[in-house]
Amino acid sequence: MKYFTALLLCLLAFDQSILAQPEVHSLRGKVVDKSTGEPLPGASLKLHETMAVSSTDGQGDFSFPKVRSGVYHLHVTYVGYKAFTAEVDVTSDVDSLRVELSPTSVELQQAIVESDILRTDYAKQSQDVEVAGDEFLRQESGNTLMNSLSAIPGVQAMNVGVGIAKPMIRGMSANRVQVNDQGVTQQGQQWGMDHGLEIDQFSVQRIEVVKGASSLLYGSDGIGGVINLLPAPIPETNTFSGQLTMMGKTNNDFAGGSLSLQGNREGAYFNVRASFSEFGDYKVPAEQFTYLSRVLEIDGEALKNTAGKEKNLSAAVGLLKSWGNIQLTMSRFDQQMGLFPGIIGIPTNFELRDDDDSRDIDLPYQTIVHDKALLNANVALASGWLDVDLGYQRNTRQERTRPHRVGNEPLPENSQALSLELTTFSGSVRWNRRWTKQVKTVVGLSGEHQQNRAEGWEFLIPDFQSVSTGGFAFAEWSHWPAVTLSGGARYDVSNVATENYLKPIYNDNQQQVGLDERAPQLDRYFSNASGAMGMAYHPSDQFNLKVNLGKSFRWPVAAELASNGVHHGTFRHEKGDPNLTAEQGYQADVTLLWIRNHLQFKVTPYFGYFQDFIYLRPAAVFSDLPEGGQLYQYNQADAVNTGFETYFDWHVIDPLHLQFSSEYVFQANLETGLPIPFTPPLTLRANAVYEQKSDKDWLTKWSGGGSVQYSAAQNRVDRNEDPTEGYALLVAFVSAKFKIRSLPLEALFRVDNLLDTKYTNHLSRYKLINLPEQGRNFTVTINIPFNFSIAKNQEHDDH
Amino acid sequence: MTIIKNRFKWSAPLAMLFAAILFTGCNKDEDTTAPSVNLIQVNGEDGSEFHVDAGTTMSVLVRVSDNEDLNQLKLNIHPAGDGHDHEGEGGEEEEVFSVGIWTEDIVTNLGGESEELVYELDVPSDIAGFWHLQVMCIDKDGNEAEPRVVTLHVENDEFPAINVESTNPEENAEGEIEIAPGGTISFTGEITDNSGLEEVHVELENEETQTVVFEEEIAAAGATTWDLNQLSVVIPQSVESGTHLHLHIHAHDTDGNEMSAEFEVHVE
Repeated sequence: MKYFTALLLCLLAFDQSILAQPEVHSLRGKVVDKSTGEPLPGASLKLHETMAVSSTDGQGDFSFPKVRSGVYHLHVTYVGYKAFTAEVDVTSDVDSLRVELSPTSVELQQAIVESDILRTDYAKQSQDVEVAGDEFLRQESGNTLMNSLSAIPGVQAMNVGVGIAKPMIRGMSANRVQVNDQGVTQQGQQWGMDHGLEIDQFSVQRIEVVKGASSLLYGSDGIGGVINLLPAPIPETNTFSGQLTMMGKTNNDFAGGSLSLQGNREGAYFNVRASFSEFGDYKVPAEQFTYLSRVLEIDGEALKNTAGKEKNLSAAVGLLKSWGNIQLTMSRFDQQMGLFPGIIGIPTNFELRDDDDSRDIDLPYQTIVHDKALLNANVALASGWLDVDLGYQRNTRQERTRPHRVGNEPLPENSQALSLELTTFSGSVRWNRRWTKQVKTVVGLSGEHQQNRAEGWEFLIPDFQSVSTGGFAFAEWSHWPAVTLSGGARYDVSNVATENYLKPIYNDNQQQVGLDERAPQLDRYFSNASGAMGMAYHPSDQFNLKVNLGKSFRWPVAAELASNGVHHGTFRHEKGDPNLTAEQGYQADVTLLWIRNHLQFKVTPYFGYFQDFIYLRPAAVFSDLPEGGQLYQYNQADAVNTGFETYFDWHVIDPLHLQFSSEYVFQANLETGLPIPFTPPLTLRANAVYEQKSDKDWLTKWSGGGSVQYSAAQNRVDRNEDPTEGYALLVAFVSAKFKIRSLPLEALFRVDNLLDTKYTNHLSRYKLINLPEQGRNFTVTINIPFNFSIAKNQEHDDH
Repeated sequence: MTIIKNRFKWSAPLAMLFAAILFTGCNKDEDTTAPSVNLIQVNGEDGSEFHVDAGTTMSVLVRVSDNEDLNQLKLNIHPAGDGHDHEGEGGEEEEVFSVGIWTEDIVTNLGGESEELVYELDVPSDIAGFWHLQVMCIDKDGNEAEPRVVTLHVENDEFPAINVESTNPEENAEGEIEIAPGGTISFTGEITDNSGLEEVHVELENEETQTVVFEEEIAAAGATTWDLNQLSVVIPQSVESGTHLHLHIHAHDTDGNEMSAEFEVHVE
């Protein structure tokens, strides 16, 4: 922590003008339709450098009363119009800035799509960025946040039942996808295939997905891609509002809700949220499943003990002033999830029998508590700004199972099979500066300290401590009007120290006769250089070509170096290799984007060559542990990861939108030619949405639509991995925005798996025991935003 | 302390890139066909559940095969249940329990396309109940056979044998005894033991609250046959409707051997 404060002071010292008294001015103007000149009331404006927000009044006028001298990106958005960013140089009061917006029916153009770190216009970025806003997330309303995101081509969800899901980008997951929450990397033992993402799905309003080489800006773990969960927008000055969301689902009797309140008084603001959800066993369209050549019953067509409950609390306070913004956020994620009995061994018919209580969470189950304290600051400097993100996280995972005797070991006294407590301190500082109209740089420094404590009568990974730090420099050059070049370099160093773990050995009389060193003591140092260079060609609004070449890396995590134990349900004994070296990735990402009147077409092919790619492979010998099956060893080999996504959006007539997308991943171990396990299959999606505004008093707009998703059979499987059959899933939905006595209310009715198709998801952990996915599921979501503001009372269209 | 540095050579990735393009898709003749465990016979018999006597030697025959080259076979024996489960194989609904300790983990190296092995295993004399015998097989490339599991029902004359012919009220379709608070459960059948019973202990437990709602200990005075009609289990009036209880009957003989029988009780 001391290092960061010292660094911060050093960086501030570089910008000498911060020492001088800052001047404060006002920024006022009007937003109008470019062709008609008509004012646009209710347009949203944001000064990106300080996060200050405002909106236009009935006459289309806006004002930012206190703005420090400097150059700002002013973002203006309004539904039905192209989002607009103006670079405004504020050196004295600006009284009449005229912002002219052009109408568009292409959705991509209506949103601000800008990398949160770089704050460059989408067109000029050399890498594609997908942005999912709250309306998209509400519409997709999957069981978990990751399920909602899997509608984005190239993004998949790896799940264990319905309550646990982790992100996968282009076939890469676990520690190859970095998830950042408000600028701080989420650390929750994500190496585990049955460890989901510990984020309140109700709290996320905007997500940025970067697919492909991202180590330059994000460090290790950015090798597959990055998912940035962006904070809720700061409430407007002198407002007090909130939102109530309620959700119910039929397939697993899900009931959940979230209430949030936020307010801002003269720049001091707060945001609190509480979310609760509970669900029962989920239903599948099957009466039995086969495991180890035994046919076992699925009683009542519900998978026993797949119930769960979750509660989330978060509170944030902050200051939004002319110099910028500082915010402190504290949150707790608390989840308890049942695990299907078969996942920890051969289930018996009794364990599978309906116990008359679908909500009952019996052993085995998993509990996760994730506590976070984040400090984010955004400080405007004379010609640029400083971003500081500090975080403290404590992730406690417990696996509880019925105590069972393994080999000659004594019967455990309690049900705590495994407990892992991971504490992480992290911080990053970034200095963003525009030197000339053509040149801009970002320089950053980051560090992380982790400590893990393991307990329980099962051993999986040892206690460890790791420290890492890295720095990068990035520059962007727009010398020619239609071409922007960018690139940068980064260097990281880290140390991982694991403690040895000794497990007692017992003889036939339950007497301890010795100790078995399951994990050795390790002290490893890693250092890595990474970088990227790219180009964006943007001759007009209608065409964009991006090419990005990156070199990324990923350090082996403690689990890959030092795990040594039998993992549930697979009978596999997973063993780490203390001599693993970091993975090196050489990647190329290309984006081609065409926009014509009502059409948008995007293709994103990619190619990655990975040296020393780490994954578990069969060792062809049996484990020496009792009940252990084959030994699986973490190995390294060169591998290739390539594929493409396509996205086509057609605004046929004003109310009707058609979308088609596809995603394909090809992965192979270059030494054996065999596929990498858990490769997502070719997936095609077709979507149709019909939206109609209404001038009725009680109805603002309504929409209806549906989609078909086809996932091809996946026969490209690794040794001992089962192929999965292809399937098609149908989704239909209807939604409406009502206005009941001037109180807006949104209702969404959605049905997933309309045809109750029985299918196995290739990326699901339950596929290992041939369990099918959820059957037909009806979801009802009610969303009520409310406003206690004394100021303007206009309709704000959300993006 | 080891410092691992990665040197950045441009020639390496470029050369690899071309190699990758050329070799992508080539499966390089990797064998991905799994071996199979074709047969498990216990004491010369086929089936999926076998009765074996405690204190005897059991003969297990295993036959495995592979398309190329077998590598290892693992035979593992572990308890089938933890005392409360019901296994429904061969049409018999029997309580799955395991009394005593018996584990085996035998790894045998193999070779060639097929092998037949015979294991002579000693069944311990102080165990009784249900065990799983699992055979796993892998070939030289690490392809795994689908494991084959059979159930061993170990019968032990030394242990008391609790033979419940029927209960009053009878068990319903879900295997539960439904009874109202204040009611009594009675049994027909007998407990036998070759050396003589010391006592019979019955308890009714609420597992959720971990409380015992009814308990009785009856001395058996060395009887080799004990009539179960001597037992009556009373559901206290204080037990709430809808409660789920576990009924345990424990029989202890004079040699210190213990056997249990369990029933599920649903309070109406």
